[in-house]
Amino acid sequence: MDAPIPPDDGGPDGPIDDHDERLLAGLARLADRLDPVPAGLVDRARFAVALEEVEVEVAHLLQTSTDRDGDLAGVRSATTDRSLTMTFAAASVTVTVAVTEVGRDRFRVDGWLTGGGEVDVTLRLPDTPRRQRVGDDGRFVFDDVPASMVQLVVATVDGDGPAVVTPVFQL
Amino acid sequence: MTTATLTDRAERCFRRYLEGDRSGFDDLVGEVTPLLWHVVRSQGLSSTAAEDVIQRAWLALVRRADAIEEPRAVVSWLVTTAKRDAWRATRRDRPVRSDDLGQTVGHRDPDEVDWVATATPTRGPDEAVELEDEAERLWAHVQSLPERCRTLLRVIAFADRPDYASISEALGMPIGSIGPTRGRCLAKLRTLLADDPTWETS
Repeated sequence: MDAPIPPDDGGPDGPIDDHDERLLAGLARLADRLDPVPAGLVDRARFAVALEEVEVEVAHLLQTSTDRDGDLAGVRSATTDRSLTMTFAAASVTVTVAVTEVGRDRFRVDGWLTGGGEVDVTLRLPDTPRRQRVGDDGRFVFDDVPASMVQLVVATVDGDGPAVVTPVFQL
Repeated sequence: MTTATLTDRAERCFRRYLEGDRSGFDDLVGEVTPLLWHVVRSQGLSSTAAEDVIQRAWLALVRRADAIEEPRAVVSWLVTTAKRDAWRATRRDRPVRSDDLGQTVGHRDPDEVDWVATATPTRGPDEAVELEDEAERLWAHVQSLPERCRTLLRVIAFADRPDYASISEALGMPIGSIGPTRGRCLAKLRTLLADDPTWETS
């Protein structure tokens, strides 16, 4: 980017030249430094598409208890005894989960469902998923979950209709 | 010698997947996800919301892979899908339009606003001071561009030249705004730099 700018480059209608390319390369370096692609983003996207259920509704993250930036990866750096609460909303059901660190890289996931009735809740993990039948009270707990990518899948007991899934997030 | 662009590589991965090779999709995710990050973050979403949008775009592609008639268009399809979803998420989650963010810096969570409007370059220990100065001046000029231009240039910066036209079109920018010609945004940036005496002397 140290070459003088040509006096007549044609303006907006001129062809893209090497100087433009250098500016764009500089912008790319800038964006990489100011707002880098998060570590694990690709892995979480791959995990998300490996979902077995074809028909799903992805719940939206409504809010988190942290006042940082809602960064789910922040759970990992939370001090012991401190929990992070997240609420996800879909058309038919709302899921609130509180994640508490219970040991070194081990977490407990407490959940509350509203609007779902009796459902099966699955905690997807990179290895074996864990499943619970959840009653009308909507409470569920997954204990001693390792630090990993996870996703909640809420399905009707008879498997009818689309499952509701949360985005994949990192414990 | 021509090298394969992102569009070329993505097409090959997607064709493998359509022919039954599951790993083709994982490779596709690896190729295109970084570009989608810049597409979505340039819309002013928080990092968490941006990641949700990206995951939804990939899930949508899994479900609708058969509906994409031309495998070569898969990057454009993903860019358009992610940008539209990001736009919806912006309106769902935040009442403030990202267009206004340039004026509201300092009153918002830095992660919620767009990269150029708020981020301050940080100095890496292994980078030359001269380059830092250049980056900071470039940053200052990009900051003064309209939001549309900041979005377009940020995304195009991560593309290869033969892909400029298709990706800018996928972003919803007018056809021909960048690609064969420089387009308004790059021309504007160059004018700003040409008027900056400190830039030319570096």
